[in-house]
Order: sequence, then C-alpha cells, then structure tokens
Amino acid sequence: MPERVERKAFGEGLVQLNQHTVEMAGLAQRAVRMAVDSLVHRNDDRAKEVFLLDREIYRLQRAVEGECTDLIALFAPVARDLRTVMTVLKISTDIDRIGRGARNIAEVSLELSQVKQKSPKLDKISRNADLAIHMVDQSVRAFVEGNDRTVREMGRFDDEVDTLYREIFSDVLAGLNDRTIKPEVGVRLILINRHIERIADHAVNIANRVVYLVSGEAPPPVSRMVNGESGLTGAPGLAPAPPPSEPRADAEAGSGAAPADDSPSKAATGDRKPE
Amino acid sequence: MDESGTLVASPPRSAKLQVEGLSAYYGSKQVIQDLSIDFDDKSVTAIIGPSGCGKSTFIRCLNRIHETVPRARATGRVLLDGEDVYTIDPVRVRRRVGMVFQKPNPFPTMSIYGNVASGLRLNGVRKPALVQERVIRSLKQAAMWDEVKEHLDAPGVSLSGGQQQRLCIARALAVEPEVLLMDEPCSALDPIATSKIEDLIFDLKRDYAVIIVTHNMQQAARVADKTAFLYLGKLIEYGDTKEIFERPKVKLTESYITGRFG
Repeated sequence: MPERVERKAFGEGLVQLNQHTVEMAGLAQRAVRMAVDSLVHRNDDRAKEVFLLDREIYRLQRAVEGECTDLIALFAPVARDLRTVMTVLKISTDIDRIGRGARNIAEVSLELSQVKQKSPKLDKISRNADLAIHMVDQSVRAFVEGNDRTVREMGRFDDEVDTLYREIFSDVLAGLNDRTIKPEVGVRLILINRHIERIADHAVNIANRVVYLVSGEAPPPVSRMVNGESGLTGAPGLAPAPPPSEPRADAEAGSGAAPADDSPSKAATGDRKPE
Repeated sequence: MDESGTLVASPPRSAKLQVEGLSAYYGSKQVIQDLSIDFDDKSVTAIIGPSGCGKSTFIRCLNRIHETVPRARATGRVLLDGEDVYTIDPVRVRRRVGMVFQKPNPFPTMSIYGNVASGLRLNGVRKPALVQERVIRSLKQAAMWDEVKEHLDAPGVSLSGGQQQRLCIARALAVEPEVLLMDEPCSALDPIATSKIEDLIFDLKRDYAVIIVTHNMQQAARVADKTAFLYLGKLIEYGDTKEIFERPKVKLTESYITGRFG
C-alpha cells in the first residue's frame, strides 16, 4: 500500500466543523425541549431562554458557514472530503432552522401564556416534540459516526410525526368546533403543531444528507403534494386543510416556519437575524 | 477497478483511440501493465496518478515516442480510428497524434512564424500561401494570434513561458493532428498562463481528442470530461470526471485525489 499522508491542516478544519455542528445540534435539541416545556408548564422564563439558545445556534451557523468557505477555498476538497464540507454546510442550515422552529414555538408559548383559558391537554404535542427531537438526535448521531444505516429508516419516524400531526390538528379543530378551545388558543396550537412537524422534516433532511455523505447517493427527490392530497381527516368544513409538509429541497426548508417571525413577540425578544 | 478488483470503466461515446493490453518497458523493467482504455473523440481526458506511476510513459506510447528511448519498448495495440499505430509509419503517427511537453520547447533558432511552420515543412507542405494560412490559423487556434501578429519574425524564445507553451501548441496544431497529447503542459506556468492554456484546451476539444497528463487535481477536474487514475502502471479507475472527483468507486482513487497518499 502507498505511504499514507495526513492532511493536518485540513483534518483540523474538519474536526472543528464537526465540533461546531455537534454543538449546534445539541443546542437545537435543547431549544426545542425547552420551548415545548415552556408551553406545557407555562414557563415564560424558559421560553425566553430559548431565544438565547437560538441566537447562539445562529452564531455557530455563521461560523460553520465561514469555516466551510475557508476549507473549500484553501483546500479544494474532493470526494468524501467535499461531501463532508457540503453536508455540513447544508445540515447547519437545517439545524439553524430547527433552532428557529424552537424559537417560534417559544414565541407562541409566550403569547398563549397571556390568554386566560385553562390549557388544553398538550400530551400529543409533547409526544410529537419528543419524536422530532429523537429524529434530530439520530440524524446528527449518524453524521458524527459517518454511518447512514440508522437514518435510512428515518421516514418511519417521520410518518409517526405526520400521523400525530394530523391527530393534533383534528383534535384542535374539534375543540374549536365544540368551543372548548378558544380560537386564539386553537390557532396558536395549530402553529406549534406545524413547527414541530417542520422540525421533524429538517431531521429527515439531515438524514438524507448523511446518506449522501456516506454513499455519494444524491438525496432522494421528493414529490410535492397538492391541495387535497394531504390526507388530513376529521376536519369538517375545512377544505383544503394545510398539508403536513414533506421534507423537501433545502432552499425552501425555512418557509414553513417563516410566518411566526411576524409575531408580535419578535419585537419584544429582539430579532436574531435578517431572513 | 472496484473493491473486488474489477475494472471500472465507462463505455465510450465514440472512441477515437482504443488501447488494448498495452505494456511498456524500459529494458526489463515493466512500467505499464496490460492497460486497456478507450479515449473519446472531441473530448478531454485527464490522466492522473502519483509520480512514477507511468502516466507520461503511457501517453508517449500513444504516438510511439516511447520507443525512441534506448531499450524502451511497448507491446499491445493502440488503435487510432481502428488502425493499430504500431503498424503505421511512426512519423505519420506523430503527425496524427500531436504532443505538447511539460516544458515549452520552441526551436531556439527559429522565429515565431518559423516554429509553427516547421512541422508543416517537415511534412512536405511547401506552398508559401498554404504554409502562411496554416500558421495563422494555428496561432488563432492557440489563442495567441493577437499577441504575436505584429512580430512574427521575433525569436520564439523571446516570448514569455505561457506564450511559448501556446506557441508549441500552435506548432502541434499546424500539422492538423486528430489527437493532442499534453504532458503536464502547465506545470511550469503561472496561474494566468495556466488559465489561458485551460481555456485553450476547452476550445480545442471541439475539434480534437485531447489527452492531458496532470499532477494538478483541480486542473483535471476543471478541464477534463473523463479522468483516468493510474497507479503502479495499472489503470485503477476511469470514468466521468464529476464522478471521479465527487464519488470515486475505488478507495485507492479516493485516497489519492484527497491527497492522502502521493
């Protein structure tokens, strides 16, 4: 076999990228957990902590982006090295979006705490958040280990999240119909439901990127659903219902979370970044 | 070869040059080992591999320059449009398969014009009007006509390194070859001169099969449609350049192009 050469400077760059990515992912998972906790326990302080985590995630994402640019410019990586840098670049965006999703949940949670109504049961929302966090954890773990075996079944978890999403949606609609849930609460729960579902989608994006990293296979194409194909049921008088989004091209990945950025609490908490 | 040792090669679009079981020797030392590969017409193929892997020897076999070295010989077949070059007069082979070397080598006693015209005259083209037409066309093809048209009588060696290399390319093109071999044509050039040669290679592939040996991975990635990786005289992997540089199939290729051995 030929003599092995270490590329020390490039290797150190990759180690740093890896560390920042893992750090970002850890913060993002924590942010989602705290955001949902703030909702379930009506804890405003916890919600505000999420904003700090989100800012830190954004700072790390900018750092990772710069590091990727440096590595490409200085070392012109190819083959797996190139796939690694490209993967980090893409998944750092997904992780950032997960942080943004957590922030959106925290914002809505703060708004909900102002509404005088006994909180409806949030078990399913909490369970779905657990699932989404688990998916993020699995995806990032697969990235760190460079192993795509575990994430090839990520779709199964995503299906579970989608199923719960539909159930929660139906439950909220039923509550709105029978007036056990106030509209200002129900609409916000639907928003939170949506944010959690999007977080799971970002986990699937990360998983697909890990498959690309390991095997070189291009991420699978995703068919787009059209109105009426969403599979949402139990929503009488609501057609078409908002479909649960599938994981899709990363360029669009943030759009699902974007509306919450216009929420009133944004000004109170300080904007983190321009979109 | 893939992990199981099977050669990984893309099917040719339209093979201009087909190499079958080529082996090359310096005395008793074998440097190319039973190598088979097809080169597409109107396309650029890069040959990459560590120093001493036989890249230069390999392309020197394609136009029979290898055999000009004492005790050097080659076996196997090299088919140019289906005709084995080892059954053709070597001078005719070298007219059809031109070559540009690592170091620009204009004839030191000749003018710019004379350098480009030299190959034509050696090949029996005597009519001044025809020689002039070919010289001008070749200098234009080599993207240096505008730079030298006012002083064609100046010595070829008075040009810069990059211009000298383009002059050598013009000289090779003047005899209207079908295949152009380039042995590390930019290794002695600065980045600007290198960019000009790379642009030139991009243009040349409209008319020629270009085969370029390079140590520069990025150059291979930039200019070549296909890339062949040689190691210890064997063809390890051959395929579309994008595939080789993004997802090589053979671990050895990956290790080489990522700079983990050399």
